Amino acid sequence: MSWDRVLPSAATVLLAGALTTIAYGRGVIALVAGGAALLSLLAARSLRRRPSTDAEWPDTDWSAAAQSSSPAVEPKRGSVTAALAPVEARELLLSPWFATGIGFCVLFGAIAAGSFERSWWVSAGLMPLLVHPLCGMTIVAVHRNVSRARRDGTDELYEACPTESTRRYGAHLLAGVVPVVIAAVYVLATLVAAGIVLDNIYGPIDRRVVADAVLAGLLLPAGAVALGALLGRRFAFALVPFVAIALVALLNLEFWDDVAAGRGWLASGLTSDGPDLIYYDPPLAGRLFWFLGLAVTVAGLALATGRSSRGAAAATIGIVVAVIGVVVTVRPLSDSTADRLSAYIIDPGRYETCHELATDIKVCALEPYADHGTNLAQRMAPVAAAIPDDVLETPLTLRLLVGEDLDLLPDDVQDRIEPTPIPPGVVALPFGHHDGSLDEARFILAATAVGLPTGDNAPRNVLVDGQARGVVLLWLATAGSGIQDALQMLEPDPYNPSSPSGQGDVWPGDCQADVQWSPQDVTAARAVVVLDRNSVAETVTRDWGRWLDPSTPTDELLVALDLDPVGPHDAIEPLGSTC
Amino acid sequence: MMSTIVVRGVDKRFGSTVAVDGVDLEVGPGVTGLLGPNGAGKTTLMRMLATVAAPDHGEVTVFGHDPATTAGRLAIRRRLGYQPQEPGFHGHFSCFQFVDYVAILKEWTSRRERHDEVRRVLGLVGLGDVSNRRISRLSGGMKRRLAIAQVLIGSPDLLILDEPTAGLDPEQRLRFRELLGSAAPGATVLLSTHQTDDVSALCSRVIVLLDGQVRFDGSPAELAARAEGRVWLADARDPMARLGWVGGDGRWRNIGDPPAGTDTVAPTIEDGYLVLTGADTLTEAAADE
Repeated sequence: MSWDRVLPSAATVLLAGALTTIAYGRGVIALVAGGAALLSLLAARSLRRRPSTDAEWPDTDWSAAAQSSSPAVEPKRGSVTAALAPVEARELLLSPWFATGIGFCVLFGAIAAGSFERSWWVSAGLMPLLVHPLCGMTIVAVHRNVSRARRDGTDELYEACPTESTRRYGAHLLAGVVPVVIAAVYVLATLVAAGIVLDNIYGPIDRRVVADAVLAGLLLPAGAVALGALLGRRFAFALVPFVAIALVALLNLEFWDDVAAGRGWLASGLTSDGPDLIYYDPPLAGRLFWFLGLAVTVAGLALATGRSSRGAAAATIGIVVAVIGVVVTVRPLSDSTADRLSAYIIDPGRYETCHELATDIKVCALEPYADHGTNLAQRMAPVAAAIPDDVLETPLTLRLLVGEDLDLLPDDVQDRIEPTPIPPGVVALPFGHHDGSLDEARFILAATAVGLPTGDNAPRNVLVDGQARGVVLLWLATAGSGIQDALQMLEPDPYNPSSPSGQGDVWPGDCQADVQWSPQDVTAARAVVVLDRNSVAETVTRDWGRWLDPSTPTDELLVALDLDPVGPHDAIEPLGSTC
Repeated sequence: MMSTIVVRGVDKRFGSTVAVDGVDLEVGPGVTGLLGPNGAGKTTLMRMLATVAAPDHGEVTVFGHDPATTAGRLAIRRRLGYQPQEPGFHGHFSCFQFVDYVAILKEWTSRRERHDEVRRVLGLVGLGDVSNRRISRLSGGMKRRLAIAQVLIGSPDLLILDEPTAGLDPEQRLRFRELLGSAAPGATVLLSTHQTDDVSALCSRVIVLLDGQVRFDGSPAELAARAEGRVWLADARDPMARLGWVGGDGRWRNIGDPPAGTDTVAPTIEDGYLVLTGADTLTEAAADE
């Protein structure tokens, strides 16, 4: 049995099962299927034929032996490396470690593509992170290929051939075109799937950020190939690539969460969860220079020998390029850029387009996110229309705002901003684009209409258990939806515990419930949304102040609507953040 | 005729162990056998001639090229076929893939010509029918033949074979002799082995190494002649014999200084080798057999 091939398969199956569990809650099925596949693999390997006994030396046309074969003529420069590269590419493609990397990437991509909900800037910025499983496993696979001769004891035989070992290492580097192409296709496919097919990414398709994502997706696996080759040449020990991966991960941890100072862009994968990258002026070219410089440096070191200075020259050039990349990446913002970015926050009205949803209600988005604003307007308009006239104390503007993350902005931008509370009449909307985020915007508008502050305007987890206004909120939030869609929106979050608090959590989004209900309130709302909306609207509008009074119980509203009371409600606790 | 290999005063040490000690020799076309007990320095000498190890002192030239220089090594390797004592393989490669890979390393860059050559050498060693079989599924003898196949790529002018017949059964050894005789006409073949009958059958010249030094350099007949008058048969082990063993006919073959009046028999190359290397090596050599 070759553990070299079995272990990656087992790891793939286990991780795939775990991730599927997290993502879809069907992990048991995945694990059973994966376990079955693993057992099949083991069984198939054990049933393979044993090595054959020594066969007789077959009859051979010995006269042919005397025929002189044409010895190879002196090859053209680079032709040996070019001839070796397809062999190494084949070995890379057949490597179970490499296949494991591709498998993880596809898995992560499938999960990420479906759950992206942010701008093209952010989504494209995260793309290099998604190729990391491929890069990590590429390091392992290339290391094993490069150290193959030493491991299998063929190095002495190869050494006696006229091809210098550096050409073999060159072939390994050349074979790196395989992961590079795979990564490029993968990044493009994931971006296209998430942004165009699934329509999960908002904002204009900025060629600059897409090019950055694709080029970073090319350079990272190229660097991984170079690192694998370098380690395989210098350190044949099998655990070395894993140690290297751990070190790279530690470096990334050092860089991450420092996007504002530019250092975050030096990480091989960006994980910023702060304000949208539009507020950072991403140093894309600098980052690409940094990646390119590192890849060239490591490749040069992989080829360097005591006799030839080419590898050392390449490494030197790589270091220069990398240093240029660092300088460009961490350089301070120019005054004009800092002014422009801070102006987005200080005076967004100058840079945004707005949609009137109803009298005194509008939704606004910065110009780069105009299409997101349009989507929000379409989804929120029925809710705005359902809000009775003259119930809002002030005109309402719903707006995409940076919110609480001002301290994550570059210092030069922060210096230009005076922290100020969100003014009255302005409600912050989330930077999200999937259905959950759009539904959340509807809930935010409905909550605001019934006098419940949300999001950045107020504390989280406002409890409305047993209160009629909570049911009114849910009725408003489902305005414009069909009955089935409305009932679907009132399904509790499946990831929450089956406690009363969890059963009453119907606030959209995965992390935070701004408002919480009791299970009885949700039951009541589900009964209300199937009634004729006009008759409900008449009842609700007629006694708007009564229903919004926190002391008005849910059952009172139900009776007014000729529905059966739901009875005493369960006590609920704030859920906090579930992220 | 110019010698293919010229070795002058070559030393090689591994720590305090002297592997090769002041060796001088010249080797020309034809098959030359290298005999010697384990640890005599055969493999070290062959590795130096194959350009994979450097001598500590002395000079080595192969085809007139100095392996100490990059250009010299390249020129030598382009005319060299080398089988290490313990040739490794990539178990997941097929026979064809492995030989093809070595062929690329031997600068056969034209795909079509290379594949023709790979098929040719696999056919020569009788592995043509299993060329697509993974090496991990080959028997030990088949692996030996695969190692020989890669040596034959391009019909090299110099073949350095370190114990090529180890692990081969008698018939395979016979076929190997036939192959070597026909596949490398005019080439220089340096063959290391413990099989004295291989030397008898194949070599026009034999060199015996002992303790890193050349103790004999001559024809197989001359090596056998070293035991002339020192081998006799008897019904029991003669107390006068330094060595003795029972032959297939039940009689003892004694080697040493025969008692007066004893009729001696014609010695073999093995007898000569044993006389040369002394009694201490007999047990070792016999064990290797």
